[in-house]
Amino acid sequence: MKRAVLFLLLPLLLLSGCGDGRLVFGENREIEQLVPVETLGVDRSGELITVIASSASLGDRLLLKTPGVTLARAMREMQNYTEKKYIFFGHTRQLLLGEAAAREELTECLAFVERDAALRLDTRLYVVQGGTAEDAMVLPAGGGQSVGDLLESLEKDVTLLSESHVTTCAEVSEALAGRGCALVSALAAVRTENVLSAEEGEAVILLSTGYALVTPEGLCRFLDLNLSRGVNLLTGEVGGDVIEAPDGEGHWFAAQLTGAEAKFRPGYEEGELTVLDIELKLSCTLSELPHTTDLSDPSVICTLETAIAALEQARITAVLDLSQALGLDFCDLGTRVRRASSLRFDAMETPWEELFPGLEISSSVSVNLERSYDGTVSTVDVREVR
Amino acid sequence: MKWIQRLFAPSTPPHPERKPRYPQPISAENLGAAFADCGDFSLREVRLGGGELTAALCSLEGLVDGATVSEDVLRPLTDGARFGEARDVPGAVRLLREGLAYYYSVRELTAMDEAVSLLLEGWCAVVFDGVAVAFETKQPKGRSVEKSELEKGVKGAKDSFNELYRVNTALLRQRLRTPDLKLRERAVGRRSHTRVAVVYIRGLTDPEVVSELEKRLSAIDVDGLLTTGTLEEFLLPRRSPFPQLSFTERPDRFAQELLSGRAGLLVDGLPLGILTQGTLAEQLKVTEDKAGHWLTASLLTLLRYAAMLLSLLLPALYVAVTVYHQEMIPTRLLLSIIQTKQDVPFSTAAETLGMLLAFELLQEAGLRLPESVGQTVSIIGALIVGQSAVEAKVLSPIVVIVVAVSGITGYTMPDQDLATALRLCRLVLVLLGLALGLFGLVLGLTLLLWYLCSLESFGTPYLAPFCDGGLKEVLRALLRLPLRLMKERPAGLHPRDVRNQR
Repeated sequence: MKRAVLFLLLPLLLLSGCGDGRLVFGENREIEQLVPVETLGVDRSGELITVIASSASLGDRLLLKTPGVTLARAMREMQNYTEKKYIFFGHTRQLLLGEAAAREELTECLAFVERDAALRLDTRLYVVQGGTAEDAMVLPAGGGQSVGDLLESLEKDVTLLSESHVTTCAEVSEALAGRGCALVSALAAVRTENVLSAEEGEAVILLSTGYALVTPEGLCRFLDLNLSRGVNLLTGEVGGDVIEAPDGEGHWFAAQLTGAEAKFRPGYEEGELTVLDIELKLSCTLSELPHTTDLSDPSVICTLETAIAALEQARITAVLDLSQALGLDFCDLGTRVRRASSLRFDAMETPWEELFPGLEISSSVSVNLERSYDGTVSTVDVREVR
Repeated sequence: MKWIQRLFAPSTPPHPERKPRYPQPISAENLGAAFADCGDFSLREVRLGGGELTAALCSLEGLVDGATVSEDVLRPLTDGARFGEARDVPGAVRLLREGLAYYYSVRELTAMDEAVSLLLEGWCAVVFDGVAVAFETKQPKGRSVEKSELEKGVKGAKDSFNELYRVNTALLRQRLRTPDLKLRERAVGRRSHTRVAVVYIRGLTDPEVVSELEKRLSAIDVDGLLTTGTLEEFLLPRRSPFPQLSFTERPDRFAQELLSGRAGLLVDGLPLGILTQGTLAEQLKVTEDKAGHWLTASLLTLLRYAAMLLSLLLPALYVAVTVYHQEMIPTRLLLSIIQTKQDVPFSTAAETLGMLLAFELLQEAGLRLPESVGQTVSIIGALIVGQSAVEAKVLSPIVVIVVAVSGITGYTMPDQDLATALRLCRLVLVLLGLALGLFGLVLGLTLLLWYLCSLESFGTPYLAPFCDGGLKEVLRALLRLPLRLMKERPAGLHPRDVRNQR
């Protein structure tokens, strides 16, 4: 027993931090000395990188801004600006990249997150469209909320409105390594008068602007909200998006998307993928419609469904066109095609990346209007072949 | 440990117990000599039936009921009409044995040791030269049967054991009306002569456990057996802070455990029943479990397991995480802790250890003082001092919460010895967590598990059935399954009669 205990305790000697005034294990810190950083922003101007850290410690928003040639240096420099406190990056929830930094420093930032012991791989990544991370972190002041809280709120909003899908650093790194491109949630600091509680009549808020398309070289381009919703239709992440469409009689109606299911049917000829058929099934509920609409008439339902299908068909067509034009499979179609018949996919001589830009893709959208309460629900199919 | 043994090694050689202690023949003179200078010893010469034949009536005042001795022993002895036939000692002894005195319990004694022993138990003896006749005239002294203080029941029986051995056996007999309930009595302690009974159910309890228990009891050679600790230390080869013998003051629980296949001990003077083969699973169950619905009882059993883990781990986990692994704390909680700790002058380690020690002191003060004062101390300590310390920013509220939760969850342990052992381990784990973080905590837990696996009580591992049982036994330990499903007694107790239902 005694020998066994001593044997078990032996490895502890390796961990000993005795001699430098610390406890045995070494890396101990008193918790009240920590300044936990919630949001990190990275901007580039010329040769210098600027890192902005936001912390809600002590109930106040604390913002620190330090320049450096490298991220690591800039982050360590922050330590000089706090009195006896320890800047703690272990709780960083969001990483914001200014547009310039996203164009030039994206992969370096991701590599730094991967290597740094404190930063987490599940840190949410954002790109600030048309501005700097500093704009997004400094301007939306007031209300007592930290940038981290605002971004957390934004994350829920973009999912609900199907404007984008917030991705983590690990997911982006994995996508870049796997298919050579990734989508990152884009946002902008926008001045608006729509916030009624704003004291000066105008407030700066953070709004989603869709997706930023990134490649290993950096930021490629932004996808507007329409394209972003098209991407979400193909990936099935529709949230609770509201669709507005004309009812054919000069009025508008609104429906809420409740589900999207895309089926991929690859066609192979002589071992090569020649055609891809995408069948998108949408489920919607009617939210708002003119009081004159007679839902007991099946043709009315059919008209509404046709209008929705046409709208969504246009969205996914635009996304597929852009994706093929850029030669970047940012909707991750390759994985889904492979999942449909992996043996054939793996046996192809031409790699998917080469095949994808010229592939014949046909898509169809069918809409199922639920909860219309009156009349039988019909299903309308809109097909487009390019 | 050897140096401790050397330090406490006795300087005198062992002295075997002298048997018989009183080799002289039985007589009033010899008994008087044995009880010389004993102020409570009473010896009265009696002329039997007013005739020539004399005897000595011996007893210890206070132990015997004086009125009944006078009425039921002394009066018939001096009644010439009744005692007229006795002309010699054998005749007198025969008359006494056959019911001359009005006592149902009578014994003829020829050895001094036996006479001394019975007198000390509260019998009175009519002593002739070379022979004596003893009557059980003891007067019960002690509490009446009262409610259990430590194991409170809602739907179960309310009575509890008390210090009177015979009352305890009667309480047990009321519940198990079978001659198979055996009480093998013996006296333990050279000077205390404490009556100890090995209690078991014939045909059910493992006979090896019974014989082992008797063997270990007979090996006990101490001056006095006055506390449970003495018995526990001498009965178990390795005494651990974790209770390998279970104690209960409820006769219904004692009977229930006998029916499960355990053997027990009843000790004169101790208001407790002692059960062998103590296991952790059994110590986390309460008698009330069987009184309630199986679903609620199962939930409560699981809660007790969770409470045990919380009580053991929470302070150590708090220390390890706040000192070393701050990234594990949810951000909002971290910010909240930082905010409340800003102006506190003590480190996390000092705060936690100080609070734990203060908690132990408060508990100890509450136990030692009279009940009313104890409650006041608890209120002053916990509420006033605690709240003032937090308001004065001497302590952070989170430490108070952690220690309080840990303490309260410890109180849910049905077995107080188990709760005490957990408190000890909690302190050690806090020190390990402080020195080595989560690594230390896991190391401590591993060692604790190892240690618990090495414990056993009369052939049953302390962690049974978790270490040696099948799924059925483990489920049975963790939950209170419907009684219709529990047709068999716990296998870990090796009962001779396995089924407890048709």
